[in-house]
Amino acid sequence: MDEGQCRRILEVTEDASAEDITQAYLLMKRIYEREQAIFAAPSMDEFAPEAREAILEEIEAAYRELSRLQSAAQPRIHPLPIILPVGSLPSDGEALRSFREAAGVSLEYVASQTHVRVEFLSALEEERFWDLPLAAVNVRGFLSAYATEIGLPAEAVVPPYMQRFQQWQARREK
Amino acid sequence: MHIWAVGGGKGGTGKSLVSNGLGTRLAERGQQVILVDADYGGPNQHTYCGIRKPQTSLVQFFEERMPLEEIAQPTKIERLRLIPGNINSHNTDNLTTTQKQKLFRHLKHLQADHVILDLGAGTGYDTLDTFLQADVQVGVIAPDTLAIENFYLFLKNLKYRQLGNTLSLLSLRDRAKGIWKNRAELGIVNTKEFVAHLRVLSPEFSELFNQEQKKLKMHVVLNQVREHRQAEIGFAVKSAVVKFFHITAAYAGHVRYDKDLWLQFGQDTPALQRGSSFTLRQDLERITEEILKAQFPEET
Ligand SMILES: Nc1ncnc2c1ncn2[C@@H]1O[C@H](COP(=O)(O)OP(=O)(O)OP(=O)(O)O)[C@@H](O)[C@H]1O
Ligand SMILES: [Mg+2]
Repeated sequence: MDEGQCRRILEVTEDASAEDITQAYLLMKRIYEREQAIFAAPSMDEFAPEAREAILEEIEAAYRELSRLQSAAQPRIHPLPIILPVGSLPSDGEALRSFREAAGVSLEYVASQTHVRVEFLSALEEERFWDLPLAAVNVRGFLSAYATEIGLPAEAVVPPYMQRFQQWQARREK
Repeated sequence: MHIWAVGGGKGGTGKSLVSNGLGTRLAERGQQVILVDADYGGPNQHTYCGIRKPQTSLVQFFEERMPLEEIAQPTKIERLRLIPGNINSHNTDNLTTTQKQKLFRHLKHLQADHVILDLGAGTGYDTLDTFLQADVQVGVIAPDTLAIENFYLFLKNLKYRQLGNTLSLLSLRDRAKGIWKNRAELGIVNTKEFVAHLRVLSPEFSELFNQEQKKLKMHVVLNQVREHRQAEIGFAVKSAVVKFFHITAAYAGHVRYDKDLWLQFGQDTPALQRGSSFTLRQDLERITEEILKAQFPEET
């Protein structure tokens, strides 16, 4: 089944977004899963139970295929080439940025996936702590989302970074 | 010029209301529109238009050969004209097929951007043929099983009619009848297999039938929606038209039930004029826009 066919089965247009497609799929399921629906004419051969079941299967297959195509089209983060020993994981901003760039992921992409603004992400990488939110809990949240998105284990990367952030905060308060 | 046909099988679903709404909206968009009351057995488009006593009607066309341009009379809506049906004739629905075909030929020469035919209920051959010949085909249903069942019947009849017309054109009718009679021996169990058999028999038929089928593109309108959860029915029916009947279709939207519509009749004003019937106007406007911009998926 090619993409055009899938879209025809789900009765969506060519420019329908992933969201539209999911909505259409759910609606279709709602329509065709009901055995006694107001729109059906049980007296007519066209509405035989087998026909309805065949349609349901087609709908499932079309949605599965469209989802597969959709995720194949997403920009991928390169998987880590080797499992890095914990000690060598990047944990300062500079090293994080190099790691991200080596993985071929733009800050804009990370921002779009994590919903953290690009300004904060670049402040994280450049360790411009003064441009980050005051509350450590927010910074931790941003960093953790960022690390996960570029394919790093947050639990290893976040603590050493946060230690430096909090030391800076303590210095500033004096 | 585009000829629109508004039909759908069941009586009273709102074909006349929708025809009127389409005409009104197109005229308001600056187009020249002529509404034709093609419901020979029960014309009431003039009442929707707020015209109490039409001076001329299709009677003059059929009986006195009066040109349609002369019969088309202005309504209170600018750019919208009406060709009324036979109101004062004794027997309103005794026209011959030849007469109705002649009418259709003359309609094509009207000076207008859009000609909208308000068809009668039922699945008579003339109604089906008119519907099939139109450029824009609108099917009106209501959210109840009875209306929907009759709509499907209307569709099935359209398909049979397409088949019959194609066979007639190629003078294959008798031969096809013979095949259908002997279908048991030939191992044909349903219409689908019957058509497949005919296709093999005559490539010419196959080609012409494809062309004929491409001409049927149904815009589905759901009228008289009284509650929210009924709105989905329109989409479901459109989907069933595509999936069970293999007819190209688009869903144009729904029209809410207006409990005050009856008050708009019998006055000298159009039922849908500005300032009245607010929800009807709103819904019919949306539907007109949807039909104008509808895109049908290419058949494979
Ligand atoms: N959306 C609506 N809200 C309120 N009343 C409606 C609506 N649609 C139709 N009606 C009413 O239902 C009746 C049938 O409508 P209409 O005459 O437009 O249907 P029709 O399909 O043209 O009928 P026929 O098959 O007799 O030609 C009329 O009395 C009309 O006023
Ligand atoms: Mg009518």
